[in-house]
Amino acid sequence: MQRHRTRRGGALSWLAALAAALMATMVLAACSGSGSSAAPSGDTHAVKHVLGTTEVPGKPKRVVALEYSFVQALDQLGVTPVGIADDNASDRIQQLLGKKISYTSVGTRLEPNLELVSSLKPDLIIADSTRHAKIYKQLSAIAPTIVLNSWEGSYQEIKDGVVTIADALGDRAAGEAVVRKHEETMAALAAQIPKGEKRTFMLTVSTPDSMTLHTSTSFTGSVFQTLGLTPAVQSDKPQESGAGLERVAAVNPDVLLVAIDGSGTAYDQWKDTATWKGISAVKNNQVYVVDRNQFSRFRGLGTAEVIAKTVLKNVYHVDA
Amino acid sequence: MTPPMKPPATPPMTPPAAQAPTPPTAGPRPARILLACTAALTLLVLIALVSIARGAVSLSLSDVVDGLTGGSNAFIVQEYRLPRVLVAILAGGALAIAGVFLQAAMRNPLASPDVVGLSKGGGVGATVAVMLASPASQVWAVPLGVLAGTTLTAAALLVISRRIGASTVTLVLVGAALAALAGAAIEYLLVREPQSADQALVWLAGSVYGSDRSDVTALLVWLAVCLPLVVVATRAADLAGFGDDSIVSLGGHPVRVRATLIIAAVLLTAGAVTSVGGIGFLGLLAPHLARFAVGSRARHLVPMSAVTGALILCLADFVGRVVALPNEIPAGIVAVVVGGPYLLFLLIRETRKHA
Amino acid sequence: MSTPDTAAPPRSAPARSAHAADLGPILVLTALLAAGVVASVCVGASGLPFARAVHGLFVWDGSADHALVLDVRLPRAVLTVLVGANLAVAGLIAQTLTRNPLASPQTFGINAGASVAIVLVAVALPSLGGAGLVVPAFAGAAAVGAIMWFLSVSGAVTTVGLALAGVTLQLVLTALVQALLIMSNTTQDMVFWLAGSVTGADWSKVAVILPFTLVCCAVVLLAGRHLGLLQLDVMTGGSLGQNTRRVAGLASALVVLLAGSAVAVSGPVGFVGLIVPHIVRRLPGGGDLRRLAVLCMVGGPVLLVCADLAGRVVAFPQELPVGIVTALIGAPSFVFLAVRQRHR
Repeated sequence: MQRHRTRRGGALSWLAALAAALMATMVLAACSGSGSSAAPSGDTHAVKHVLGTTEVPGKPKRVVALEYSFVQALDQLGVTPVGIADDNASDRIQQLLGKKISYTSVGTRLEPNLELVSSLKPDLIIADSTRHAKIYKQLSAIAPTIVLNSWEGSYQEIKDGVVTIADALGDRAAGEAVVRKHEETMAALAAQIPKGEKRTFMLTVSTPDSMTLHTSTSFTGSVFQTLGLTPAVQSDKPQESGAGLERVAAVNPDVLLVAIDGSGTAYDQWKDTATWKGISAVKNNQVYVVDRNQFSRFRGLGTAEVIAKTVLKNVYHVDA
Repeated sequence: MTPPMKPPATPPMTPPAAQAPTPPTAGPRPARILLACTAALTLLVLIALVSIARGAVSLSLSDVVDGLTGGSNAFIVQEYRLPRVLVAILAGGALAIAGVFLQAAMRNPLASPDVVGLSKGGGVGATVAVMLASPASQVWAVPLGVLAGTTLTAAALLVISRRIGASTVTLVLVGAALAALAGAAIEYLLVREPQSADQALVWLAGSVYGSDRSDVTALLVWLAVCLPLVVVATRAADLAGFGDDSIVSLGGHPVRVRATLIIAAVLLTAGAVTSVGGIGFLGLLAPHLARFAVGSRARHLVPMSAVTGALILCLADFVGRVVALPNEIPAGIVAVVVGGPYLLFLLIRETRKHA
Repeated sequence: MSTPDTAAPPRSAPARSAHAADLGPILVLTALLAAGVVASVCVGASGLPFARAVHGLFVWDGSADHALVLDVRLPRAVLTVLVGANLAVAGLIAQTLTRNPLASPQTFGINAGASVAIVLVAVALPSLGGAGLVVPAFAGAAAVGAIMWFLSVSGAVTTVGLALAGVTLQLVLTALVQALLIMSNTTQDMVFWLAGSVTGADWSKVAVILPFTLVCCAVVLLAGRHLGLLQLDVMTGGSLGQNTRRVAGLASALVVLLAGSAVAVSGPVGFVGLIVPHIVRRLPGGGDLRRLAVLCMVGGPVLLVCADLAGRVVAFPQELPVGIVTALIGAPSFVFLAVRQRHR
């Protein structure tokens, strides 16, 4: 291109300085790279999870949970987490567990604050496969980390997750016991549902302007199936978002649970229209407004029982 | 226009297109340039140090040193803050230089990787790569997707601008249209996969969150490979400010000159977008700020822009990290919210001067 | 529609044929719009056949078909028409006012201004909803409109400078929207609205936007001659006469009202305001502002109704927000227009 000329020296020296700066950062990065990361010591056991196998030492006591469903599982296993990514909503944790616990908020589930996680000196971190896969390496540098599918998890995956968490806590049997007890509860609840139930069930989350339909592969959908009920939308995608009134009317569920937090959502707009009143569930008085945290956000074993009890109480008038 | 100190053989005029909306100022004196660069560098080092020491957990100087050598704060210093600061510096610098090159190549003060759609094009490439590639191969697929996206956008821009002619207004318009098109494609994917919408939104806004050592190394290697091209492009940048005829009369090859600049800009943008997402506005703002301090000559403007860009992104990340504890606000959002009004202010001030 | 005296002075052709050329595009667009609205009423998630949709539309028998057409399809079609008209006319006036081919509610950041205000209110007072959102939408649109107005009349900001200011504002405001959504964990809920969507259309939204559409369009048609002065008068600093200044103020208010009310009911739908004025200018007939405005009032709805139809069909039974479709159609066709404009 241009021949080298002496008066270009200015430019060259600048670029040399830039190059030197690049080099310096490279050295700095290399230096920091040589630092030792937390090496597990003593007797450890291998825990298999979504992103591989992690060596977890002994019986971890200081646990950080980055999703709500993990908090519920830990509670059932008798462990109180030291840190929770709670989206700065401690009232949700209280609602989830039915009691106040003392913990440190580590920020949002979307981008948990890793400095805070690290300052809690945890010995186990439980992360979600959708939201935290990108920071798995960094989490692992803080403490042994297991990754489970909570965000998009089906009922079965949530149940398996409880056993995995128990395994990580060093007591797999406790997890299996919790799941067994839960399955007995669910079976007892399912037994109270009349045989030959043909009606279709659906949970929708009402947002401004539209609704999100939870399908057969969603958490609620698979809980319905466990109870012997039929989800109204069969799909391999857990959710169908942006559904208008017409779509809900076309699905025409026989029993409809509408999850809401706050007012001003599509449900308020739609409920007085003739089309809404033409939906089978509305005609037969089978629409139930439920809490969005409980039905859509928490996704734990306890949540499954709450869903089953709500259905029994409202649809079949059985107080379980 | 007064030439600086020693009149070189090539006319030292600032490229006519690259100076708007900055008025044609006399080239600043070397002492002033040196002062500006030193001040910016010092500020950058200071902010980097503060970013490493402060955050949700405050560390003293001895804590930081302790952390660097593997003490109790090793994670916070080595794994969390240092990689973030380094990635912010590298990506900010790269985007700023890409902005300078695009402005020179297109002779257009509005050109920058985000305004002409390169960043968004890269975003589409990344999104498609995430959807098509298996999780294991995403390490390779995403950078390739970003590179393909930015390259295709640049190619489209060039083909169209060749047919239209070099009118600045239309070119920016076409760039904005391409950016909107890419934006619509991304939004389409978001609507189809609303479960991951908030993650995608953070990525699109641009965030340094979750940068680790391997990100630093990857970006560093990429930029080191690009460095010779940056040197060549820096020399071409001044030349590109002239019309094609003048370039020929000065012994240059117009197409080759502009191609060098654009290829360099595409490569730098692809590297930055891969590691920090679609940070908007930085590639536009940093060169304009740098031009105020050191004038329009590429050999001053390129390094000064790089430092300015690094400074802005580093500062934006720090502010986003501490302003709403324990929440994180993506650096890209902070950069736009803080930088945008400043550019508007500059525009209005220039307007006043002219009036 | 267009009154005879608004026709541009006939050139060489006899008055009668000039008149026909004037009316032709309007009639064609109106026919297209009618067809589009009918199709819009007939297409939807529940696949109502044409005959039943028509039956539902005209026979008020209280059947499910009738309810569906009346509750969902008809308000949606009407809302789409109104939003399309608002945005196209706002774009036309913005382009005339600033004498800038890049001007539109979207490129000048006015849509984004309204969006920020709406998201802010939606996050802070989620129960407000519906008509309550109009006020913040106007406030946001007016604030941005004021900034752009200040920049465009205060001095020597060039076309490019103004475009830069617009791009800057749009980026800043969009970032603010993203920050608000991320901070409040409502991204998932707002993705559709953010892209610009008429999925949630109902009669209450029609009632929100209708008065603004009617009043503003009437004002444009009545004051068309004065607004047309803006086309002739060079909009630079001192040369603004008292009268022109008043007209420019009126025009700015129109843009803010039209765009603000559209964003309040459908979110920031892009590109309609940018490309429709360019398209209608290329239709045969004179360039009189009133005539262009009428063409925009019909052409904007044609584009938006077709885009909404496409959005409902491509990903059936899911829907695509109409704003995505307009961007996918609008961006390339604008590039095409720019290329052609250059070649002339």
